[in-house]
Amino acid sequence: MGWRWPGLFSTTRASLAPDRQAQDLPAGRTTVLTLLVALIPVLAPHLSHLPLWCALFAGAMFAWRALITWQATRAPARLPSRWILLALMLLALGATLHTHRTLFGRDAGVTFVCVLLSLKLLETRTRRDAVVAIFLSYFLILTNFFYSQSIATAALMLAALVLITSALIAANRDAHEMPFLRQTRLAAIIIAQALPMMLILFVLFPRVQGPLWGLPTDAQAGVSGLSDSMSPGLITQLSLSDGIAFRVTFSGAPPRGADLYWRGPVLSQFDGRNWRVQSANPLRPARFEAAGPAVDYEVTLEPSNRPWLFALEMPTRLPDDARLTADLQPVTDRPVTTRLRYSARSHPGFRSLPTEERADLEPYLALPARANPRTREMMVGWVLEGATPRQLVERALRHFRTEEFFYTLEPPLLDNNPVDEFLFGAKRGFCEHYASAFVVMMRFARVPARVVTGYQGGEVNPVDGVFTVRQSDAHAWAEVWLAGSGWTRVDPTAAVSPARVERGLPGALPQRFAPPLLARLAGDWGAQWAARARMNWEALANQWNQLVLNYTPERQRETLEQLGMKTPTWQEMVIAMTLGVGLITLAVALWLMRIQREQDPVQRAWLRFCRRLARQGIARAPHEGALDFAARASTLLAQRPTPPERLGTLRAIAEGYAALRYGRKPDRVAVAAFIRLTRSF
Amino acid sequence: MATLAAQRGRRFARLSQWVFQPRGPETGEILLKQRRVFIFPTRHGFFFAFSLLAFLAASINYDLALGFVLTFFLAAAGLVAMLHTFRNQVHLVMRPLRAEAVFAGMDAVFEVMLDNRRDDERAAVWLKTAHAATVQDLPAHTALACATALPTSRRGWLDAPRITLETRYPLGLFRAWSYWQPGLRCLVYPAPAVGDALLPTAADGSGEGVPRGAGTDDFGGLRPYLVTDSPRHIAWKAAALALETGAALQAKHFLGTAAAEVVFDLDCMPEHLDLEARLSQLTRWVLDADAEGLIYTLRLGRQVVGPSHGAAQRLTCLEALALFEPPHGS
Repeated sequence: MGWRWPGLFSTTRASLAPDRQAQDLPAGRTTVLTLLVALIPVLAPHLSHLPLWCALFAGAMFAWRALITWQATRAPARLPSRWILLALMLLALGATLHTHRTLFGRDAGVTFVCVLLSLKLLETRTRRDAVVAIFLSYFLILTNFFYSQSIATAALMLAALVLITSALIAANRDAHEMPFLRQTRLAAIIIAQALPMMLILFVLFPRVQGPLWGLPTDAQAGVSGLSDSMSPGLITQLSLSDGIAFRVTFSGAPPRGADLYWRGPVLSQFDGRNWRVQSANPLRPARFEAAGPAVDYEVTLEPSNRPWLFALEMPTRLPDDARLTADLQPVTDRPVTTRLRYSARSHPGFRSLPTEERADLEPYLALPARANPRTREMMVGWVLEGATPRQLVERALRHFRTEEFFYTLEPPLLDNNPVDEFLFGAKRGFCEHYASAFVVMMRFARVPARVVTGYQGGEVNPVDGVFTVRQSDAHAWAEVWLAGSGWTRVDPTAAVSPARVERGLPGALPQRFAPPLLARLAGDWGAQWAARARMNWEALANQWNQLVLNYTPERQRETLEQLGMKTPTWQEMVIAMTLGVGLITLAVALWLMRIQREQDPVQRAWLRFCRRLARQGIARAPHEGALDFAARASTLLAQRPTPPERLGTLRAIAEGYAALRYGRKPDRVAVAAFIRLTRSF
Repeated sequence: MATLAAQRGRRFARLSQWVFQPRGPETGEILLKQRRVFIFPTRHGFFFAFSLLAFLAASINYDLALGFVLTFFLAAAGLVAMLHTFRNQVHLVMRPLRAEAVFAGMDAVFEVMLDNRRDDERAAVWLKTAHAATVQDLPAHTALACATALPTSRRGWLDAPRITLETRYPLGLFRAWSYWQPGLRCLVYPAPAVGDALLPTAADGSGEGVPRGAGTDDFGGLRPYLVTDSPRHIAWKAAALALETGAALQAKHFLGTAAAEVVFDLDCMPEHLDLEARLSQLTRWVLDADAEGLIYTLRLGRQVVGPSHGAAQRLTCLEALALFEPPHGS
């Protein structure tokens, strides 16, 4: 007897293959093409910060490999010889060293990995090569997070993760390649099944406060914000940036606009052009007493790579590792390299205490010799007229108001004597010009004065009530020391443009200087819509920052305590994590096996039917086909008192089973009818 | 010391016995139960895990929240891939098919059936023996016949080799494998002797043969081609037609005039030949006699096959030659 194949089955004869390890098989065309596609979203964001030569190099290698693979539809791909690749490698290594002066650190590392990967693409012959290239690509995803961890980046990288996994699947198709879409679908399924486990690991994996080793100096390069010195034009530049400096959640109502002075670096050393933070600490710190209502709030500070915090004037409570300097600047122990959350309390109605001695105030009177002679001349004149310090302040502010001074984002360049040129020539400037000129004027008149930088104002997001302070809110103002009342805030910008302090920057500037981007959209409605969209997006981004990006060891402890773990130790976290991952693995395993068990309802119904007959003493022999078994069962049943329609049902079930199992592709109705029939027996 | 090592070796053997539970040849249909599928990370899997440690260190050092997400995603995907790899193999149904008899020196070909009764494809399933390997994709609800070859050297029964089924699909981080020895035996005939030794005559069988080809000029019609037919007897004109229509090859059948009975007797062989050489020579004669349509008898000691002719006679003779064992003491 020959072999009969039931109709549903198809047979092919497998050919014998010599013993080859799967990994030595050539890398398939689909593998390479999928990897190339997957690398587009991984490499594209890097183009903006890679050195130009590296971007061009990677692009060229990429295109070269794509061309080779595209042409080699049938024949094995003809890749360049190893000598050419070695030469290219040395060339790129030299260029990396030349650009970054090192091979270590963040930027050099990323450049190096891009070079390595693009060369590996041209060397990918076997599956083993492809797997190395794929693992490198996974790493390249990680390097993208050095530069951005926004929602958009996360979405793009998720797509890249699925595509690279798809390439890994293609590399493991040892027999036949699979269509790109089906293989990518499988990758997406694997990633989707991995999601719950990832969440458990993310929440429960015991976090340690980094860094593990010293951060390379370039780790935080390119962070914009206030600095410890102020040169003309610095804040002007900042005010063009839409970037967020920090976010604030007030526990009560936010204070009014004129009280929103977020105190930052206090600058009291002047070299004629730049202001700097005082290098030597004064003997006695400035003192003040709390007065008026307290404001409690929580700040989420964007990384600035500086050890500064920002707080409303004047902070009376700061986090444990923060303090006020002698100049009343809030600082913390180490640079803020990651998003930092802290809560603070301030008293906007504080009173300064004039406890300083004459010697303490000397540093706030220092001026470079011979600079700005016209200003000195004017101030000496004012003093000779017999004005008190308080009157001098009033007069200076009146001077700004009554003379033709303008508040503008486009001040002219100022040269050797910037204060002279500003006061007597251009008369145009931004807040740093006014603050700087005012302090210089006061010092010429022997009134102690200093520049305070920070942020002024901010904006409430109506979506989540979070108060957002942007780089464009950067501000500079002045403080003068007056006998009897101590250090007193004076904001000369307010004299020129009161709206700047009350309504913020957009209200103070002519329309064309309003911050760029969305505000430029034509029309009121468009602007409103854009503003609302921006608010929504930023509320989402804030949630993202708080929940995902800011998941620090402290936040982890808080979250776990909220989930019911009392003061979790790392051992408990590891146990909970292992349990969670184990349970989910089990669930996924059962899910995968469930598909297996449920896949053939016909077979299940038939087996159930056979079990039922077996209980009546009529067991199907393993070799017995459905029809033979039915015939034998009929004869056996006929010997017992059995209604004849029951025998008919028996035969119908067997015929139905044979038809559904071995016939053409069964339709759903027939399957349902068959199951009903087996149940009715 | 030696006893300690031996003891350890025994313990290890017992452990491996318990883990792998070797079963010997299995003749029936096998469903690969979970107990029979083993799984372990591959070298790529270890490399992957090592890379993830590096990813984790970088994420901690640079405080990359999304770096953690990526690392944990990949770790979880690795675990999920382990389940997929396991699933790619478990519940596979296997059946031994057949192994056709061959002459010693040829490759014995064992055919087995892999049956995927699942809605999903099982991709990249390797079948490996010590000598050969083949890789297959099994589409959903498909049975696939696979063949594995084993070189032969000795006549007699040859057991099918142990087959290792293995797969690394989909991510290649884990290798799932199972052992299976299909209950198949291949009958290996003695290798036919080469050379022009003439067929022995009926009378003594000592080498005075009837000339080869005697009486072969009477064309007796066509019959289906048999593997053992001489290529000279293939009906080449008919073969061209057969190739087009897909019909079986035909061989010319000659009626031997030498209806004289031929007897091949092991005991009447030249003395200088050893047993295996004699059996080889007898095999050659059986094939030649059959090709020429002679009626012949095979005598192996007390065992006598024939006189008869045709395919049945040939197969019986070849089987007797393959399995012949000399009586003890002779």
